[in-house]
Amino acid sequence: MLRTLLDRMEAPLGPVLGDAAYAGRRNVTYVADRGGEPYFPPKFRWTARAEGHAAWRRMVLRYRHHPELFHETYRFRANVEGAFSAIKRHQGAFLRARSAVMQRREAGWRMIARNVDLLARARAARETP
Amino acid sequence: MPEDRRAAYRAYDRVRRHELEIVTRLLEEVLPEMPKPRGWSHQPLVGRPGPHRRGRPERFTWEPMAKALGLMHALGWDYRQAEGNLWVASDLRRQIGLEEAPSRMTLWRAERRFSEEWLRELNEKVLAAFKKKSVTLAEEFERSRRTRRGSGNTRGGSGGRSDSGGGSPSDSSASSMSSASAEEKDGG
Repeated sequence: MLRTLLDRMEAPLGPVLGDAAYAGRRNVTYVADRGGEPYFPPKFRWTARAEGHAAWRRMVLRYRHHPELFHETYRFRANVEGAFSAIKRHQGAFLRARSAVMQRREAGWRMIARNVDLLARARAARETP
Repeated sequence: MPEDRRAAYRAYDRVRRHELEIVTRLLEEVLPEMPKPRGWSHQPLVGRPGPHRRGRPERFTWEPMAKALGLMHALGWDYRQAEGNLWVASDLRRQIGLEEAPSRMTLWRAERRFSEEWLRELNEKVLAAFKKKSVTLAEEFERSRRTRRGSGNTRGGSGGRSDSGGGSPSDSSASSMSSASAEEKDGG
């Protein structure tokens, strides 16, 4: 799932943030191979054994030994989650279209509408005395 | 109530009360810069069609339909609500350039005719108002991270999970990341 998503991005990845559901050795190795830096907080019981995935060991040890540095970057996930949450609250959590093509277009229109709404607020804040 | 919160509420109230006209005005600003989407004609066909013209004349052009669809999604209307609201509000129709109200099927067909590439381009135009010069997301991310480290906001103690309670992110980074995330989502 994560790899399908990241395959669409052509540029080097940079920091990749995700919750523990994405924390798997293969995902971490994939992100590291694409020039990215994985930030998936591992769960308490998970080991740092590399098992052929050196990036996993690096990530887990960084999390254990320097948790403050890890969270320094990981905190940005809240911004992305907040944006998604605002879209769902504003426009509903479902799409009306049934076909995949139309679902993508509807989602595109919703993103545009959301950005227009944000722009309207920013302008109103600037113009309001 | 502090003054900045009061100002934020005044802005929020203004947007809520005049949402329709503010969104329409913004769409009017952005859409003229856009190229004509493929498969649409510039003008509705009036008068006698040419000798090689085939099919039914186009009644709605792309720009008013894009405005209608933008309004529909910005205000959270479904197709039926959009049809009804455009039918009732003749002044709104005139403002966005529609002579008659499109039916809900016409709106749906119009939505199908705008390609994903065109929508991505439109989103870029909208986002251009947010972006500062030509700073990439990765650069902005690094800058905000460095600023925060440099401000002396370090947390002591080695054990335990240091959650974001230790310090709140600056406003500028939050706004830049949220706009970037919107861009990312559309891109993804």
